[in-house]
Amino acid sequence: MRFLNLRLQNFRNIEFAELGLDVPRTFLVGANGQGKSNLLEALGLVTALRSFRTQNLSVLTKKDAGGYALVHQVDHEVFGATEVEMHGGRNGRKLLVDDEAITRLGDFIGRFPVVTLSSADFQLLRGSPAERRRFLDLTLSTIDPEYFDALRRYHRGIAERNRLLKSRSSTAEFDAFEIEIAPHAVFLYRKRKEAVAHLQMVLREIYCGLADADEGPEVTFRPNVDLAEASDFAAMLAASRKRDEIMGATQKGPHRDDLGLAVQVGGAKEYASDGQQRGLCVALRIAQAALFRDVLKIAPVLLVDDVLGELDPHRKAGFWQACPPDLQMIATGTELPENASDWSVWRVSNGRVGRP
Amino acid sequence: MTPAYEKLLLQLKALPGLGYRSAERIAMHLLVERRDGLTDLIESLEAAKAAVGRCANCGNIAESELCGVCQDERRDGSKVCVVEHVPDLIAIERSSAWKGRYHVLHGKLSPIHGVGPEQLNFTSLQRRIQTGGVSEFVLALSNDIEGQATCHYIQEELVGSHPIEVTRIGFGLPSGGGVTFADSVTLRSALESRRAYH
Ligand SMILES: [Zn+2]
Repeated sequence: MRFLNLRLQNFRNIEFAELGLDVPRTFLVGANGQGKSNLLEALGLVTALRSFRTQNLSVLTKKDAGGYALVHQVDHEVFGATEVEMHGGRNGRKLLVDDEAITRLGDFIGRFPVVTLSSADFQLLRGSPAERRRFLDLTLSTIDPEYFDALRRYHRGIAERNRLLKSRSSTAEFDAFEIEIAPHAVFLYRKRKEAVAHLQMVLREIYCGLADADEGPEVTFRPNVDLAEASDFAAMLAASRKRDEIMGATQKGPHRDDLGLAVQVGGAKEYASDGQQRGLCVALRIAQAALFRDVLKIAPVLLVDDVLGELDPHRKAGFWQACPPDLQMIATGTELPENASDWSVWRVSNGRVGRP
Repeated sequence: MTPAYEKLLLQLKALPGLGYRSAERIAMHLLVERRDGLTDLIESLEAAKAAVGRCANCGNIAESELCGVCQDERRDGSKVCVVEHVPDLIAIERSSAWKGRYHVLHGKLSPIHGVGPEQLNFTSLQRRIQTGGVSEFVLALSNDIEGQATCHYIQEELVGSHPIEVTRIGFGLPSGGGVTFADSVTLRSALESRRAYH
């Protein structure tokens, strides 16, 4: 897909702005804090109503305004020219696709895929396993509505079981919930395993373009429980009741899965340098985009939030090579990129957008 | 505001689906804007309170010991459709796709909401199982983890080894959705395509 146009009202520091995007490459240039990232954030909401910067969507409304409104116009492989309209804030959330109200998030997630690269991606390497699970869950939810459904049911089931653990419940109640949790758990396990293998394959290719040939990236699935059969998983839960009761919560399951991310240098796994870590994060995002394109048959849009400045010159050059040329790209930076003539440039200053 | 008004407001706000604003609007409507209708409302509330209770057999609302469905001789008493709430029963009745009888659980297992087996209408369900005469249960519970767990509990813990066929509807129901909000066509196809449990 491609963005054609974006209109924003009362979003972050932007009172009103309109941005023509009907080109392959757009660059938003401006000093820090002027609103460049806010524009990318607004574009990014179109995939899953999630911001790459915050989990608290109430901060999106401009100070002193009741709510924000966004209108994305996109050209889409399946839906053709489409308008996505979003309202959020004090007056409640509303989502319209071509004037039709969307009431269930599951009907929306992944229809308009974008991938955002930002310095927050560093958390994928340095942050807690929860960060990596979130990456995996968002990736899979985008390409597979069944995954999103299973994930919701699994977490709901675990929450119910955790309550059972605290209330001296009968064996029959535990049985009833565990037997229903198990198929979702092994579904998540299988899908995660598959996706990580796919990701690893794509990642290798991309990373080659980014760095020296003797460096190899490695993304591995680290399941908390290595069980692929629902009956085995249910039996594991049943056997863990005593222990879980003492701990006060379900200890084992996909809610404790993790991803291993590493760079191998000359065949040996080494502690990756800062540059290598940044390169790995970038490659991981591009791999995510490639995965979306391969599975959804819809080209995602790449949103690049000021990450190029952090790459060394060698990797910077490699970045452009590694980006699939058929993906629309919208990037931000404090200064113009090298071949500025390849880009449609907007200057962002104090919440206003204009041509330089 | 006056103490009597405040008390009424609190009572209204405790009703399901009413927030402060709507409770306030209703209170004003009753006390100020349509005061003459108030007596009728009080009377019908009192009459309903006196007359309406739960059917001793199935848990449906009833104005005598048994509800209309349980009294109806033409209904097939060997087939019982188990639902969570009375509105689910009403929705299925409206689709006229069910000729058997019902059992209303008044909820589903949900530890998070403090609902265990004791909170559900299981005692009379157990009685119906033990008395015999039921050959099939159709479980029309919501298509979420709590609804599914409740199905499992009924099958394993209550029906157990009794010779009763247990089927679940669910095919065609929106995922995570309940029975009440499904349209008649969906409900009819869901009932017709019920499948054996496990
Ligand atoms: Zn009855």
